[in-house]
Order: sequence, then structure tokens, then C-alpha cells
Amino acid sequence: MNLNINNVVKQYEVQRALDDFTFSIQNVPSLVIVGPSGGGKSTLLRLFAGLELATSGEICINGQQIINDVNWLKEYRKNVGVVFQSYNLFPHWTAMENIIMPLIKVHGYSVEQAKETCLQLLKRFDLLEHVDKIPAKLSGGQQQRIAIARALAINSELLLFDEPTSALDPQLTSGVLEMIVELKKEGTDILMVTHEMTFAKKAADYVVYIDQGKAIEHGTADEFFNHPKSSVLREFLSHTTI
Amino acid sequence: MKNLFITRDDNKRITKAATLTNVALVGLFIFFIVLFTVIKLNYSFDFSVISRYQKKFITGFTMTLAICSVSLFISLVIGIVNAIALKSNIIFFRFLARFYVELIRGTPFLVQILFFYFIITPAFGLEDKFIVAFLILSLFSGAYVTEIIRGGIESIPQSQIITANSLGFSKWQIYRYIIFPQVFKRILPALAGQISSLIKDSSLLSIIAVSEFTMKTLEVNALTFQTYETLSFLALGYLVITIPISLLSKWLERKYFYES
Repeated sequence: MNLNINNVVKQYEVQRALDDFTFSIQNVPSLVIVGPSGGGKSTLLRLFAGLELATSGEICINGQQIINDVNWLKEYRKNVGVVFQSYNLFPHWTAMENIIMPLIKVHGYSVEQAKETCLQLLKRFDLLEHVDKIPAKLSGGQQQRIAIARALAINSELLLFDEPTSALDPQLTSGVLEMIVELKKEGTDILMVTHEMTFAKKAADYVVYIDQGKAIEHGTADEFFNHPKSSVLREFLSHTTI
Repeated sequence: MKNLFITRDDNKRITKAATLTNVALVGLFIFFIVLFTVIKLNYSFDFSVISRYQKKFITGFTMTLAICSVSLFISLVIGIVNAIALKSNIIFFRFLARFYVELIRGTPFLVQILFFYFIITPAFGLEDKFIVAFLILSLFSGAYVTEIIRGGIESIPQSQIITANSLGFSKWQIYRYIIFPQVFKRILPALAGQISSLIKDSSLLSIIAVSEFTMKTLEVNALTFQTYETLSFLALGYLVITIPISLLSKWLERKYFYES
């Protein structure tokens, strides 16, 4: 994935979530964003997902510039897969309905096409037994894996993850992370906000540390974890267990 | 002995013996009130009035059911449209919807009936009394249904809307496929309660001489002066509809409670 972010500002009423944010990478398959809570990580991800408008600045993902226009963003959103922290699945739909409804209603698939796509995905990730269950009957980890399958179903080249495991018990986390690692191996570009440093170390090609609305430090996973330059990052890493 | 009358523990089931005893007591209590009124008024009962005028009762009862069914449907439509208008991007719609709800909920139904009947009806040349009755009742009930639906919509967590947006659903699709199916289930108990209110409130339409159940009963009363029988029968007629609805509402509430 290629990213070019130039002087992006995101101003909420009283708070400036992103402050003249500038960052760029070329040919990075998986980017992990880390940093303290309230530092601007999730805001950045929501801008990538087209869910919010930047106050000013320029964002370019894989050569496509994100245009600050509500209608343009609506179209753009259809082709970006996003997995949130929790409550990704709609509680009144079964696992299958959760996956096929966007395909049918947003992407114009026929019901048969959508079901076929869905079953292939569930089979691939060993989730076939859950096809007719509603979210309340699934564990948090299974729900997240189905949400990832749904994000994949639209064939997006880039998947965004916003702390996909932070609402899960540790024993459920591994299944979700393994699925993401597998996707990466298969060539899907991944952009993920996470607190899971072990995972970041294992799966990230590139890591950026964001605090107070700015990219404080970034580098390859090796540089980032083994040779942090800034004192804030050293401080941050010393508080996280790897 | 004491256990027959007093229950201390909130969770403790009331025993069968205690239930029977106390139901009998309530029955006795009501019986004495009835007895008191009968003696005081020196009243002699003649229940044949009910069968003699059964045609009038049936017409009235059917009319009440008809008016309420149609009004229920219209008020549901009003409620859905209005609840969406309350969240509309067009400020005029929002304010209009808010104003309507506040106006209806803030004034007595009787005042609305009179206002509608003496001002709106002649001004718009509405002559059919039943259409007027449908309209008044629907407009009245619609405001309450709006609030029920609004509450239901707001009970859907924002995270679902964000997820739906990120998947590319349009605003209309979000309402149609995600919000309403969930809202409908959640508001069913409240809606059942609203149907019950609608049926009871429809009796006020008798004030403008809509020939519904109350009006017809009052007619029978005026012809026979058998007030006790006719009014008791009237109350019974409403209970026959409202008690099952109330039970249904409680059942729906429990059902939803266990499902969520």
C-alpha cells in the first residue's frame, strides 16, 4: 500500500484530533498504528475509511485521493473494508445475512452470488458451522472473524482494523489475530490500529507512533521496536509488554 | 393464618390459598359497593335491555373496532414518517414534526376533538363524520406512536450506524434493513399498550356524535333509562378488548426481555 498524508487537520468542536499530520509510505503491505488513547489513531483510521471529513489537508491511498465531499465518500466507503473494535455484526441478522446483505443491497449481487461468496469465505476461515447463528450465539472472537470475512467479501484491496481485539478476552484474541496474519500472507494490504504489541511486532511491516495528533516516529517493525529514537516512544514501549 | 394476607418476601410466590382468599375478598369488596349503589338508588335491574338493543350495541362495537383499526394503521404511518422527519436534514420537517408531537401531547384529546370538529372540519368542508373520526384519532395517536418509534430508533447503538455507513448502506437502507426491523421488535409491547389507549380514547368521539360503542350505548340509555346495565355493559365491552391486549403486551415484554 502507498499512503500520502499531507498536513491533515481534524478539528472537533474543542479538540484537535489531528494536528498538521504528515506521513507517507510506499509499498508497505501492512501498516500498524500505535499510540496512547486519544492521540488521534482512530480518527486517522476513520478518515481513511471515509467515515469523516478532514478539516483540511490531503490524503492519498494507493494513488487515490480522498475527496472532501459527502457524496463522493459514500461511494468510496463501499469499497473499503473496515472492522471496528466491537459490535460489528448486526444483532438481528445471522452470520450469513451479515455478510450477504451488503453484497446484495450495496454491491448489487444476486442472492445466489452473495451466498456463494459468503459460503466460500466462511469455509476458508473455518466458520461454516456458524453460518446460521445470530451474533448473540457467537463468541466475541467468532463475531470479529465473521466481521473480517464480511469486510473481505467486497474484494477490497485494503482492510482497515480499528483495535479489532481490544474488546476481546485474551484467549479469543489469538484466533482473530491469526486470521489477520493469514490475510497478510495471502497478499491483502492491512492497516491496523492496535494495542497488541506482540502482534504488531509479528505482522507489521511498518509501524507509526501517533500522539497529540502527530506522527511522532515511524519505521520498519525492526527499527521501531528495537531501536526507538524518540524518548516518548521509548517511554511508551517500556510500558507495553512484548 | 397471617400468611393468607401478608407477603413479606418480594420474590416469594403467593400461595394458591392466599390467592383464592384475596380474590374472593376483592370480589366481596366490589359486591358491597355495587350493593350500596343499588340500595341507595333504589335500582331494579332489567338485563333484557342488552339483548333487546343488541343491534345497537353490535353496530357501536363494530364501529369502534373499525375506527380503531384504521386509525391504528394511519397512526403507525404517521409515527414512522414523523419519527424520520424528527431526524431529517431538512430543518423545516424537524420543527414541524416536533411541533406536532408537542401540540398533541400537550393538549387534552377532548379539546383536540372540539377544535377539529368546530374549526378544521367546516373550514376544509369535511362532511363525513367517520372520516373526521379517523383523522382525529389517527392524528392524536400518531403523536404518541411517533414518540414510541423515536425512542426505539434511539435505542439502536450508534456503533451500528457507523458500521452500516462504512459498509456503504444509504440512509434509507439503514432505516429499512437495520434500524426498523430491530425497532419494531423492541417497541411491540409499547405499541400494544398504545392500541389499548387508542380504543379507550375513541370513546371520547361520542362527544361529536360519532356512532361508536359509547355513543350507541348512551342512545340505548336515553331510550330505556337502564343506566346501570348499559354502562356496565359498555365498560365490559372495552375490557374484552383491552385485557387481552394488556396480556399480549406483557407477554411481548417478557419475550423481548429474554431474547436480548
